[in-house]
Amino acid sequence: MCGIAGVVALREGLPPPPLEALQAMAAALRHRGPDEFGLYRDARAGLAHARLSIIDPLTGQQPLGSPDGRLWVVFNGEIFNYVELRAELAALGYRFATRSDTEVIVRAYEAWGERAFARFNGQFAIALWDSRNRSLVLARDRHGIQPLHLCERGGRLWFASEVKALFAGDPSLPRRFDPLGLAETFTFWSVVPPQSVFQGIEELRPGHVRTLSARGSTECAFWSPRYPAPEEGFRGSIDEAAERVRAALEEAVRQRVLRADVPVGSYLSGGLDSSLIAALARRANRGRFLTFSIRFADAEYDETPYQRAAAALIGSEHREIVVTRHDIAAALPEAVRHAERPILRTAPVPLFLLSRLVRDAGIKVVLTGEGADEMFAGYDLFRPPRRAARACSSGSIRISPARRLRSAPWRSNSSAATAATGPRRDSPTRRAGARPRRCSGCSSPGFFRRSTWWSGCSPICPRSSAPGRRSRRTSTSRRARCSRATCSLRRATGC
Amino acid sequence: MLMAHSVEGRVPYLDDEVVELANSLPARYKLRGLDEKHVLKRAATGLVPDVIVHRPKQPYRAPNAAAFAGADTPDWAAELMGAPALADAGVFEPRLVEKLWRKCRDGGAAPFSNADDMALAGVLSTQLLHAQLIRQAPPRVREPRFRTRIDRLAQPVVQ
Repeated sequence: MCGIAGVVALREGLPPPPLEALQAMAAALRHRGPDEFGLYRDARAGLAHARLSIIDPLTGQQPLGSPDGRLWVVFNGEIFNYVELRAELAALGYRFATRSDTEVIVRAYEAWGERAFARFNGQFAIALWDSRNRSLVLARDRHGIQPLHLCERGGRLWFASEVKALFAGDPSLPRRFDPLGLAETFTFWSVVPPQSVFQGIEELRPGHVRTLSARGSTECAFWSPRYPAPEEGFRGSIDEAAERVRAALEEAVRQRVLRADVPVGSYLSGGLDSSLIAALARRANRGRFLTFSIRFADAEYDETPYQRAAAALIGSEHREIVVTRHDIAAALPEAVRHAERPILRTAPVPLFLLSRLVRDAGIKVVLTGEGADEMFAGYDLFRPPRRAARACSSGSIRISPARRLRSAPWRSNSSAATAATGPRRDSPTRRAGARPRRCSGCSSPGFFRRSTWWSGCSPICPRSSAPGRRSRRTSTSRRARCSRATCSLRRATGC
Repeated sequence: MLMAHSVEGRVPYLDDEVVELANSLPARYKLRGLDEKHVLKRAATGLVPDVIVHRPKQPYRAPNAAAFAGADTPDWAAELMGAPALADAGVFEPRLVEKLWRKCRDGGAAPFSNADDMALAGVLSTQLLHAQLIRQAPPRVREPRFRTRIDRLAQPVVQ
């Protein structure tokens, strides 16, 4: 994995991209890819790359060009099926000069155009510059595992893996919070791409490709999640399903362990998800295998016995870090600087400390158990509708739990899709008669007002609280409105 | 948090095939009664210790407010939660934040709810973000040496 950045002139007559800007952006991404740096520049575009060498360390440098020098790519992430795609492309007559997955991206784009992205099984943020057509193509993986931020300013498009690289590339870029991004954070517990918490900066939506040229910009989804109706979905028994899940996971883990030219370790939280992944990784690779765990000095959060039981059964070389309250307080600033967004729990901080342990152990790649709760209904929030369905089933209204789950917005695994769809007409929330309140401060529906759980946050209604316009009057009237709203802080403090 | 230390995370549960399969499974296989991730537990049986398959789910959490309630709270925290820094960032009501912060510093004298806990982390991290990324100009770091350098402006470009 790496860091990517770049700048492209969207109209004629602009000076070429400054070298200093590309250097500053690459430097700001040094922590993502300290192994080596690369740069491409022509009269219209500049690309920068900070590399963490994992696949093909010797010849996989970036930016990487097509043999005719027309296409140039910088890429962050991995295409796990690159070996299969490479064979397919070779059969079509394409020749390869390196063993890298980066070259497969260039060739696949030459062969299939934008349809190539849907064929990549992996995690990626890609920028492709067509120096002949003078167009830039940006693409991001299906689930948004890899980040990609962009902003337009002065006729140029800037993009980078991290916001701090955008700020470093163009110091004149205004650095301001976007009230809407903060409102989303304090409502959904996260911003929903393309929204970001910084004004003028957006995140490319997961599963999307954006093309920019002098003719303008287009964006479309190359993938969106599908939820087949029960009669079209999996029809086998629960045991058959478990067998299929195990086989699919085994193959997914095998690819992620073997498609690397460096050793791959695994996180081990002591829960089901990471334990299963670590166990499957062990089966894929019988060599030296390291697992990493966070222990907590606070017994309430600690899962040491489970972690050690899993490590013992797996037979891994197990490493632990003990995290205290003091460690969390001390490392929060650095963790937030990397998160580049407000965090509503300190849980990322121990993970920040854990990745330091991994690096110090000489490991560059780890498998994690993230995504299991989303894919296999692990979160507690999936359970209330099931409870409601049980309650209903004894009464006159009978709705199958499956239907309730189908109609619930969180079924989508794309956060963007969730936000766009919202609760459907037949969702439990709607049925329960919860009406969105209107904000009395302006004409917008009071969705944020109702859902923002902490009234101390100002951007409750983003339209009526534009930055720099927060007067005393506004806050007073907001407080007055707050007394009518559901406000846990008020209840708790009695204010 | 991985990339902060140059570590790549790979996420097998978000593999294309795994996602396609998971989305095609009947909901009741995933949530059986109130048993979450039921099909995954079945898939894991025999591979991971039984005690892990059968343990009740424990969400991954870390101390939030508790990390800032002790005597050794860093100075920057008190400063960022103070009225001048709050006014500078312009996001939060200083009066409410002051109450929240006092309650946290009292260390359990008044009940600190889950919402309080999240509010504290949210306010503190927003203030940190403001101090580090918005207020502070991007730091001047030493220039990297580019090993790969294709600069078409360095020589005359043949169109």
